[in-house]
Amino acid sequence: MDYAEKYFQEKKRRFFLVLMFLSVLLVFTFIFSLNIGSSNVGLLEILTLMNTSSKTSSTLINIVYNLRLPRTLAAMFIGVLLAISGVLIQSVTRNSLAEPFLLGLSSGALTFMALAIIIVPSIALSLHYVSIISFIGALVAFTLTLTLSEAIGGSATSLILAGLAVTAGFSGLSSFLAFIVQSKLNMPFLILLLGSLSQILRGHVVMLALISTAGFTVALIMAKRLNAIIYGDEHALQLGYNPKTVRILASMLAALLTSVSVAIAGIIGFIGLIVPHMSRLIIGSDNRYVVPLSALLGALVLCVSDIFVRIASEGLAIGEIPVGAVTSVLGAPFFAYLLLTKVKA
Amino acid sequence: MACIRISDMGFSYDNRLFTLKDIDLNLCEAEVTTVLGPNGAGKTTLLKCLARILKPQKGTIYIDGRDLWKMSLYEAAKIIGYSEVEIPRGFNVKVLDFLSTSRYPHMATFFESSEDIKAVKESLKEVDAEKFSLRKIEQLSSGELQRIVIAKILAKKPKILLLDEPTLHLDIKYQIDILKKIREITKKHKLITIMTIHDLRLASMFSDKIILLKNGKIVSIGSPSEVLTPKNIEETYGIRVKVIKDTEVGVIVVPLP
Amino acid sequence: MKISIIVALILGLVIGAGIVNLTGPGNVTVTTTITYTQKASETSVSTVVSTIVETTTIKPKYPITVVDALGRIIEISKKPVRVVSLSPAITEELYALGLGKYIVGVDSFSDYPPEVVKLRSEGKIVDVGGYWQPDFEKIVEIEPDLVVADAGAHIKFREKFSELGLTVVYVKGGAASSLEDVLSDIGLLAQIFHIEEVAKSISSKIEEQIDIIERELLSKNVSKVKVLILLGPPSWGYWSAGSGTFINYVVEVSGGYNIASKYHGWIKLSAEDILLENPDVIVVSMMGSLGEAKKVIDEIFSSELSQTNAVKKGNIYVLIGDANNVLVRPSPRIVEAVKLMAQILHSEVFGEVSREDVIKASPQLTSHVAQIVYIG
Repeated sequence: MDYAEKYFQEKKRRFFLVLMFLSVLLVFTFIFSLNIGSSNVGLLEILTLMNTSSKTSSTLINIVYNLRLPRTLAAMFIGVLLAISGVLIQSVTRNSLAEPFLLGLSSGALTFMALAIIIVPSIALSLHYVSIISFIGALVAFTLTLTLSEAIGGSATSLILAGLAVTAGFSGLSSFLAFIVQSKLNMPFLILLLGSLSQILRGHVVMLALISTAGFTVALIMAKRLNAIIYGDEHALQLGYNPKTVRILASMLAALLTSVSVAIAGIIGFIGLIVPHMSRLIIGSDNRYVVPLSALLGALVLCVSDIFVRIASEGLAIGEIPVGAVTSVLGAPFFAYLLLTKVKA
Repeated sequence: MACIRISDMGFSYDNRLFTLKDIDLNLCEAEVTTVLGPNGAGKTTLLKCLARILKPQKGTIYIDGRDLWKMSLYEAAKIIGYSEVEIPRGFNVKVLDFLSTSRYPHMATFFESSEDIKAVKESLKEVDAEKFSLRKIEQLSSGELQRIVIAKILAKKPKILLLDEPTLHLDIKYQIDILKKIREITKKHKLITIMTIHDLRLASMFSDKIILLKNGKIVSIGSPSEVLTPKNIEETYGIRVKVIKDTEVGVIVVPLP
Repeated sequence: MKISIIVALILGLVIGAGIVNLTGPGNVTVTTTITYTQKASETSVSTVVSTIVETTTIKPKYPITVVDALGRIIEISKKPVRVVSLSPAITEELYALGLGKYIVGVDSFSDYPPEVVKLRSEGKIVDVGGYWQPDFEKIVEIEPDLVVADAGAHIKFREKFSELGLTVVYVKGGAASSLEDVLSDIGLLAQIFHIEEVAKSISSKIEEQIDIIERELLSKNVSKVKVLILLGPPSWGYWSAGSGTFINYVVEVSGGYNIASKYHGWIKLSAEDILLENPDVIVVSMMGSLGEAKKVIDEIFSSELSQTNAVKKGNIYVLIGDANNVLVRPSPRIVEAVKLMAQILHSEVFGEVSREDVIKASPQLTSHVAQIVYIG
């Protein structure tokens, strides 16, 4: 009768297998990403040229990788941020259709950012301050969504509806404000409405690395609590967890992760929806597995999307396609599919 | 075996109207106690107070001589098991996953130990639900779900079982099934079980003790035959009944037309 | 207990990240050095060794420090021989100064002088991407020792440029607000190459020619003509150039009043605004073909703008091709733009404009339009 042991062991095994597979895939994607670009330098050339110590070639190599490497890393870290943020929000709201973008966090973050820059333009120079403002915006939006959701019934569907309303509102606001920032202050902002990794600087990568590592670690530590609150406040309480604390912590963490990603790259939606779902399809709903798997998958998905963007932008020669547009094109139909299959039940 | 003592407890949701008043209880036997009463009498509220979910404004709840609210949530979690559960949709949860969450208060390691898995298996066996251990929890029928709910409490190995309407939505066969099991488990593991049920007949058949609540106050407490008198029932529910004492079945309550 | 640790962790990391950031990639710091060479010679006479040290202070040509249009102090360590131009105006300026031979990369819109197009198609000059979004990889690949960028369009890339270790000098370009600004751009570029005299001669020629036009206008005592400048076809919206732009300068100096000048910078006008101001002349400057230009004229005739004097009198001009280029580029050809605008606004003084790339509304259309009323 060790069906139970078999089940848990199988899960662990499958988890490690998938983890390894995805890690290898990630490494390959990473290398591939470093290889594509408009100049003809590729990884192979780099490796051969590294042996020759000609000054121009090494400068060339280093510099080219100052462009591709930060962008690739940024794509991966932001993928992690968004995916984990999605896992947190879904656990907190007990709703598998929830996601930082769909519940208004991303749009709220961007709105507050734009507002702050209009009031104090010099704040745009400090990523630190911009992130804090962005964080506040994300929290405000989330609170609004939750309040509205309660007011219209508090069911799972109410949450999604409230989220859509808040997202729409803040999207409109942020578009309007972004336009002002861009035209009056001559700062690139409109591109953030649809998310772009083209403005990544080296300094950004450091912050992304720190925040995503921190976020991942905390989410993993909280994994069991997140598992517990999915089944209701009472269930969590009688397991010894305070659901209020868990909810506040998880929400704030989700808002932090989302807002940092918005502050650096703008609004990239649907990763927080698609990736946790895919993870659960593969490994079930245990957050101890879903968190690390989603982190990996998130990094992979966004990196691949960005690669696609870079290739398409060059091929079509129409300038940089915002990566958020790509995730929306992929994500929206996925969301529709989920609505059809899950909401009916 | 634990001992529950409640002295002069009162609870209010809004600090004005008291849902529970002057509750005095002493439950120290391995028995099944059923809380009965009309809608709004405060049955679920009483259970939630015992489960350390709602904090009474007046009075104290003692578990084994310790104030329930002076204990940490964590300590309380090891002693008390409460049934209420929300089943999330779209999360691809299997029954085994759900049950393993019950082991969290006891788990010293990040992952389940073999002991934890054993406890889960045993709890499934007790409620005779092994065959759907790998089913998705959102696909269970009400009856199956009720059994799993009991299993989840058992997996935690508490000393006190608090079950809110365990027979809801079940047809008669499963109702009796569940209530029989509850009695079995209570005796076997020497637990204190408190449950709420609507059905007077079933309550009378499967309870060792009955607490009759009306408007938040205890009308009567004692064995079914002591509590379920036509006078008490008329006072509490406003209906006239006839009480039949049957040696085989115990006390049978029959509503008069 | 655990929770507080977690909270502390998060806070700590956020603050830590912030500190890292505040000390992150800083601004461009510059040192200025001017070295003096010392020529020493020594002679020895028999047993007494006397050393005569002759020190001559020679101010060498390089390194040199310049202040660019963003007010940054840039050190140029040696004469640039691989220059990348990121805008068509900059390309024109470089060629005007005779520096075309040093250009190794231009943006895809640069097309004057015509040899630029030829060289680019032959691959002798590399195309480094569009004006709005330069291709950094291409730029880095050709290893330039000087990149000239436009303070209007490229200001947002300055951190990226510095991260990539490129020497970048910004000219005012699109942010130029007057003739002086354009001339100072030319002067800045000349300064880098130590050919200030060339710049001076170009500038004085330009000033002279514009002077002539101004004096003519003054002597003939003409009144200012109200002009609406549209940048791009009306279907893009009524984009115009307000005060503080070089296009505004061109209009003013050619004897016109730019109706958009009550606003500052590059703005979008509303139809109401335009109707209120009631311009006498409408000049549309756009990229496109002859056919597209004619379509635009028809569009304007049947649009809400038909109520303006300009449309009623048939004073609609569409500039395409090179005519468009000279107007929208803050380059040495600003002279041509002024001449062109002066002819358009005051044909009574300078004669009618007759260029292939300037399309005027034809008289037939005028009478036809008298019957078309735009119903709003």
